[in-house]
Parts: sequence; C-alpha cells; structure tokens
Amino acid sequence: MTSILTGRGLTSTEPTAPPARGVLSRLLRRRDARAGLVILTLVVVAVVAGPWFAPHEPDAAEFGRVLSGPSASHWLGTDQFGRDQLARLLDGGRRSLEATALVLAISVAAGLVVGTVAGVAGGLVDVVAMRAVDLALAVPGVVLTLALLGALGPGFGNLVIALAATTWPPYARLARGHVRAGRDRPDVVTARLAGASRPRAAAAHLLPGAAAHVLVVAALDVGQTIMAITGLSFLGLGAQPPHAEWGVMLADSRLYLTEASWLLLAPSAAIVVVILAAVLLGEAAAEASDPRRVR
Amino acid sequence: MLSLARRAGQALATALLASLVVWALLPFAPGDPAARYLEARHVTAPTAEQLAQARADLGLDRSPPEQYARWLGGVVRGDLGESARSGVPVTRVITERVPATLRLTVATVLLALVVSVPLALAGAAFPGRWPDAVGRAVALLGAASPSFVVGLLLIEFVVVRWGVGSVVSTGGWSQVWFPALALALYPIARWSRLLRAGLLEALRSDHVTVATARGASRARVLLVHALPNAAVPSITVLAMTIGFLLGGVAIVENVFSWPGLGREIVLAVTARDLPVVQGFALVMAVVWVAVSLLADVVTALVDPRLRTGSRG
Repeated sequence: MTSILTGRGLTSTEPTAPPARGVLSRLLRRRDARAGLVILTLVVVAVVAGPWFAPHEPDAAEFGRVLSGPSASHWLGTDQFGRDQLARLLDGGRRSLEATALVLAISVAAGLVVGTVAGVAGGLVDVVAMRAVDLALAVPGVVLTLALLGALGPGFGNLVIALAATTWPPYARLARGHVRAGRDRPDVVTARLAGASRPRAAAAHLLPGAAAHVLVVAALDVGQTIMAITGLSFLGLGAQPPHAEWGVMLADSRLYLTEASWLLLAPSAAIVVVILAAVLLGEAAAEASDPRRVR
Repeated sequence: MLSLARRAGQALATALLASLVVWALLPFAPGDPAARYLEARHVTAPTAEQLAQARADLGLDRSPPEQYARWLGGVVRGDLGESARSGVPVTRVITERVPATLRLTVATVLLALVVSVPLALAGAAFPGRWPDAVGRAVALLGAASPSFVVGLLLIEFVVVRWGVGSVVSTGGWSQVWFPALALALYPIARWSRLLRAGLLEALRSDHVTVATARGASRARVLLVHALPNAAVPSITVLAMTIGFLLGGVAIVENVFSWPGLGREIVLAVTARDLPVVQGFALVMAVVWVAVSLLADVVTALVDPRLRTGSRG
C-alpha cells in the first residue's frame, strides 16, 4: 500500500525481510513503552537544556546558605558547600546519562563489528573473536569491571572503558549468531549472485537485522548500566568530586543524613525514575521484537 | 555420568580462562613490580643489581607463558601474592573477609526466595488480577532500585529515624537483614517474574489438565503439579543471579560498612592494590563457575529428562 509513496513496497513486503521490521510501531502502541520513552525524553531534555535555564551554577558555593532546605530560590535545597542541589542534579544527571550512552554506544559498535566480522569471515578469525568473548565472559561482569578499575585506576573515563569492556561480548555473540544463521537466506544469496562481495552482502542484508537484535538487548541493559555507573561512582571509583554526578551526590549525602535528607532523596528519586523508565522501555522492546514471548 | 564429566571439564576450562584474564591485569599495576617487591622488603633505594635480582626472583625475565604457568602454580598452591599496601598475604586478607560476605549472600538468597516464591505463586494463581499486579509492581520497583539507593534509604529512614538496628556493623547474623534486603530486591524482581512465567506455562501443560480433571484442588495443582516443573529452569537463573550478587556485595557492603570482601575490594581498587584485586576476582570467578556447575548438576538430578541424554 505504501509502495507508491516510498517506492519500497516490493522489498518491504518480502517474506525474507529481517524480523525486526515493524518492531518500532508495535513498540509505540504499548502504554508501558510510551511511558518509559516519555520519561526518558523528559529527563534527557531536562539535563541537556536545564542548565541554561537554571538560576544557579552547579559548582558555585554559597557559604551563607550551607545545608538549607528546599526554598523558593533553591527548589531542592543546598548542599554542604551551599551549592544549589537542583543545578547539581541536572549537571550530574547529564554526566551519568552521557556515560551510560557512551558505554552502550561503544559496546554496541564493538559487538556489531566483532560479531559480524567473525560471522562473515569464519575460520580462524571467528575462533579468535569468539575465544575473546569467552575470555571476557569467564569472570562475572561487575567483578571484571572492578578488577579492570583496579588495574587502570579509578576515574570516570576508566569506568566507561571498564564497563564497555564487560558489556560488548554478549552483543558480539548475538551479532555473530544472527549473521551465521542468515548466511544462506535468499536475499543474501541473491545479492552474492548479483556480484556483491561477501562483506558487502553482509553489510547490506545481515547487519541491519543484527543491529536490531543487538539494540533490543542493549535497551534491556540501559538500566543495569546506569546502576553500574552511579553505583561505582558512589563508591568513589568513577566520577570524582567536585564534579556533580548522581552517585557522587549520594555518597556526599551520607554525611548529612540527619540534618539534610533532601540531599539523599533527590538523587535517589532521579536514579530510580530513570532506571524504571529504562526497564519499562527495555522490556517492552524485548517483548515487541519477540511476539512469541509469554507475557 | 559422561555429560557430567564433560560439564565439569567445561567448568574447569572457564576457570582457566578466568585465571588468564586475571593474570593479564598484572602489567597494569602502577610502578615497577621489582621496585615494589623490594620496597615491601624495606629496600627503598635499590641498586641496579638488586633490581635485576628481584626481577629474576619474580620471574619477570621469563617469557609470558612461563610467567603465567608460574603464577598459576602459585595460585593452585594457595599463593596469591602479597597485598601491595600491607604486605599481608592475599590469601589471608581474603579468608578473613569471606565469612561476613558468605553470611550476607546466604541471607540475601534466603530472603529473595522467601519473598519471590509466594509472589510468583500469587501472580500465577490470579493472572491479571490484583495479586499479579502487586507482583509486577514489586518486580518493576525491585529491578529499578539500585542496592545502594535502597540501602541508604533504609539507613536514613529505619536506622537513623526509628533507631532500629545499627549503622556500624560487626558482620554478625543479627545485623545481616538490612544489607540483605537491599541486595535482595533485584533477585526478587528477576526470580518472581521468571517463576511466574514458568508456572503459567506449566499450568497449560497436559499433566496439569489431567490433574485438574481428576479433581485436584487449585492449590494442589499449583503447588504439587506446576511448581516442580516451573522450578527446574529457575535453578539456572538462580545461579546466574548469584554471579550478579558477587559483584553487588561490593556496593552494599560499603553502604552498610559490612566487613566483608566487597569492602576490602573497593579499598584495594582505590589504592590500585592489584594482588588483592586479582585475588578477589579469581575467587569470585571460581565461586561463580562452581555455582553454575552445581546448578547444572542439581537441574540434572531433579529433572528426569536430563538424567541420561546428552544436552546441547
């Protein structure tokens, strides 16, 4: 029906098209997915655009207003240096979410490249790539992250590296499986017969489907990644003070539990809401991409 | 029996892979390992000869495979090196901290089972009705609440405000339940949903229909006929979650000042005390391999279909 408008009718209705097609529309029809998406979008807009509108700087100390509760000028109160908590929440959220996006982007890209290359090339390349995956999966994820941080040293950049190093292996395995399963699909064979090289045929016909599969799994990992970044920063192994970051803010709040509980509540709520939205969206994406899944 | 031997072989291979990963961290240690080795022996300004001697002592002049074999030999004999901070043998640092962490893990698994099984049963007994909705809400909140957030909220509102329990822990059984609760939320979320899905699937199977037709009560059908079938696949998930807990203790133990491995590892990571970090990672990896092996053995023992045939 849409072929007149898009001119793609023939290919888009091919029975051999990757199963991921239509996932997005099926996803957006779900209430939980829409809720998750709306919350995440609002938070991203807030942390990106918020600082332009916020009346206070995230690291401007005001020693006359140390540990003051929520008020008209400081909606979420101030911390132990009189810094505006709302400005720090926005600035810290940007840092937490940027790191999450970075970890997942690196992992998805690395997993797709390694998995697709291994699946297409086969032979020795495949064996070496998959043993590398086995190697990275032999140690439980969080433990390996901690061990890598111990080797590289604590810090926000190293935390992103350590988390990406433990996140990509399952993606590579998934992409490889997809590529190998689809090697003899009619559209791939046709492309090869039409003269496309193996890498070209794989990139055009197998990579999109592999990417869709990997992205769905990555969507499920968003919540875990935010948890890891804020949690390890909370332990002092990631973002370092004076930079605001949700985990760092929680660590700071520990010293003022009795007199300033707003310092604890605001970052806690932010973390839980964002992860909740990510979980809703991730699970909806997993279910939408697999209609057989039992609800 | 044959498949068990093969599975054990796999477990050993995974443990060896893990040891290779852990060993490969060593070159990242800050500074010259020979200088550090001498410093721990109170040689602050080493001469070139002393350094060369130390290098030979440590086997640093050999090829990497030889160094790995030498290191692994030490590990097998229980020699994990010495802490770069204190010079105390890593094996002792770890064994001193294991009991507290073990208590925390056991309490967490118990708590998670006690909460998640009834939630799953209620959800499967009344799918789509309010007990199921409660189960889903608990699962969602559990999956979205990081252990350190829950831990801090527990400390703030239960320990500090109400004066229940104590902020400083000695690592005993009486104080284990708050940290265990913080750590258990995630397994509760995972297990209750998975077990519920398994129960619903089991309820649709033929033997359950037959049992219902023969007049078994709803409760009996659920507990006697559906639960065992649904529980078998959950054992594997249980083992996987324990791998997750092994990392999670690092965060929760720091929130509650719990004197276990998790707190030790964070101190070691902060100071880049690599021998302790390596020891921790190795112990955790071996525990994980052992737990998944155990889960497979138990699954095979419980499920008659898996007892003899060869599995994927």
